[in-house]
Amino acid sequence: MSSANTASLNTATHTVAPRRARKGTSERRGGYWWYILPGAIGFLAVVAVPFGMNLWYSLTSFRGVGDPVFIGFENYQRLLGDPLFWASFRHSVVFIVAMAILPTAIGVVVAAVLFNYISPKFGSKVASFLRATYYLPQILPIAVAGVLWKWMYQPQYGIINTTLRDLGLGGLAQNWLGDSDLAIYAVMNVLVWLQIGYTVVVFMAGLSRVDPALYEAAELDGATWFQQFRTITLNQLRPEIAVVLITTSVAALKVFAPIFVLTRGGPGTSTIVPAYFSFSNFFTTTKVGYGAAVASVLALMISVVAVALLRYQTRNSEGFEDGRG
Amino acid sequence: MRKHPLRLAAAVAAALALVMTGCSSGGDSGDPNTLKVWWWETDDSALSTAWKQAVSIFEQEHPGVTVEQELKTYEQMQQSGQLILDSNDTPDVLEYLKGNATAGVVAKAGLLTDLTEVATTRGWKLDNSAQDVGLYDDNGLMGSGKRYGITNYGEYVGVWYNQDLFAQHDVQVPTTFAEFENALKTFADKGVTPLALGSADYPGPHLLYSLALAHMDERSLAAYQRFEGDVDWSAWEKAATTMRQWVDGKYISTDSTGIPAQDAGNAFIAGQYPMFVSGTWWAGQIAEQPTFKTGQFLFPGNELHAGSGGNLWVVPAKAKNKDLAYDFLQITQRPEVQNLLADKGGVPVAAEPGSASSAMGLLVGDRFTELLSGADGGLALYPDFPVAGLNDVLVANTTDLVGGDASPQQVVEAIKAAYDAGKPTA
Repeated sequence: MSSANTASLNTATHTVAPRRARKGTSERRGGYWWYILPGAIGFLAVVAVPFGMNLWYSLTSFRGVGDPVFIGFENYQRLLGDPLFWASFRHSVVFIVAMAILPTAIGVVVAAVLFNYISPKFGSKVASFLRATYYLPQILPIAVAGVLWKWMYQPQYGIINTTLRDLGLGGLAQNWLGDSDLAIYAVMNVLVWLQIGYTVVVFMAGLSRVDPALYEAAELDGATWFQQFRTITLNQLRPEIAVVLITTSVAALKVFAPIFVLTRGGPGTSTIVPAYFSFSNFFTTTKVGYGAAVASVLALMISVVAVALLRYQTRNSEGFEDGRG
Repeated sequence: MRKHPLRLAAAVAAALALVMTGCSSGGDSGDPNTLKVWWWETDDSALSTAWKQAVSIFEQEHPGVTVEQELKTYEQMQQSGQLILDSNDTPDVLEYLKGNATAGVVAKAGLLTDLTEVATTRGWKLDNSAQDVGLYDDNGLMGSGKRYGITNYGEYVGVWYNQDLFAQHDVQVPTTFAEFENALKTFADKGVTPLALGSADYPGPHLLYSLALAHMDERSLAAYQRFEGDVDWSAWEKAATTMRQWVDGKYISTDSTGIPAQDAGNAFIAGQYPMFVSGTWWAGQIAEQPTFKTGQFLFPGNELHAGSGGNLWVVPAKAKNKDLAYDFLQITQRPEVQNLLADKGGVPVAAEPGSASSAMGLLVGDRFTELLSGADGGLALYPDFPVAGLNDVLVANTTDLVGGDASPQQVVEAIKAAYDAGKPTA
């Protein structure tokens, strides 16, 4: 074989092989499309198209019927000067505390107590039962939970105030949902109660993958429960904590049902949130264009928070995998 | 190969479109022998009973026509009524919400049938002020213009009172505002909170409006409700000041900011409060309570009282069987339906005098007739009628007023701002 032929063969091999590889990849990609398609169609129909329409409506003056009138960014300009809009976002920050930060903090402690203390001492069945009781609010329809809490908070015959009065602590009885200074804390309490079950279940699942040898070694080294919690539990649960913080923060930003059922944004506007503000513009004042602008800003803010938290989590888990975590 | 996903997408999209078209075609919606009727009143209510009677008469007089009745909810119609009326699958006749923000909006958008000519041709008697709730002008403002709906009942706000508690505390039924305040004070001095109030809901604004109406006349009412001239906001400020004084005097509990309308009514019905300022829609429940004797008087000293015709029967512009719908509307106005409404404790607009068999029916029915026949009508509509979304603003501000979170001036400023922002521009 001449060197020229060898060169030519080499070239042919070089040119053919990658083409085959590309063809193979392309065939596989074509095959994968079939899997993506139903989700893509669903996404288009349920998310992308309505979101596009929402963006369009946010640039119009529209009362829900008739023809929308294009007004450019007027709704957004008005939004920036609307104190109610800013108040609703301030409340969102408060609800991030109630739905993300507090339930995560409490959840991780409860999960650790159930996993490392209750389960070994009283058996896994007791721990499972207690986990289920924490999870109960999650399976209760929010309307039912809201009505229950409204009964409990009722200022005159609600169980909280009547119990306080029966115990001779009538001075502590409050107008829980009717006092504009107090209502937001009363709502926060309900939200924490609702969320703890979710965080406990996720963290207990996370703890079940932690190597027991770590705890055994720590115990042999004489580490206290708190030291084990700080150095092992918290460290090992970092991926779960990140996921829980992302999902609950997003849920807090778009919270609607508990506010609708408990306070409808009141008393006054002391518990109004962006989703309820948008809803009331859509359906009560029939300012659909303005409501759409609120919804668009809300969607944008949720996306920003979700992406930021996801990036943070990805960076952290990469570090974790590299042994830097 | 690459085209396959697109082909599949097209096929799926086409299938979806076919399914959706199939779903929305509504099968027999265009059947000339079917009348589709929607309302939201619950089965045990006086209104529902009367309308079932209308359906029964309709079926007797239209053999071969099937009536398809669907029960909706108030919230459903409030929140998605516009979309229903804009769809191609509307009922032939339905109960719809009166007011600028609801019937006014859809009337202006051309989604309701103009009933003006039908009403004239068929000789419907709709010349009383209760029927003003069915009239909307070209801007969708209620009270004048073309007729887009009719109402079969009325309602007004008065003061319900517990006769036993009045007797026990030696309080006379007040006839003037001063006597009313004296009665409130007498109860408060004895440690009894005199007024049941749900400030977290419509009763708060209704009480504030009743106090404002004490300082309003026909001209200032027209300015507020129909934008005819400048609104007299000083009347509202006086009302807010009085309401604040009533809270300070313990005539109203500050707890009321956490109490919705139903709870306030329930507490009155349970005998916990001597008085409850609210509407005739409570008549049935109040009449049924067996523990004390109940009475009702109009807000003392006022010439004008919150109240109006009830919600509307409308015929969608896209209704398939309009003639059948008109026949049904005509039947709802007949004495046999109206008298039944009165008999069940409702407030009919066209019942025969003395047709109510119950004391409560006679009380509210006759009083409503008096309010209708007054020289100025006596009915002042409701405080949230002029502007869409005003109810939320009124509730929020009344709550702030009762809770002491805003001064009367701040409250009225906030209401005025929302009112001005929502006013029709042209």
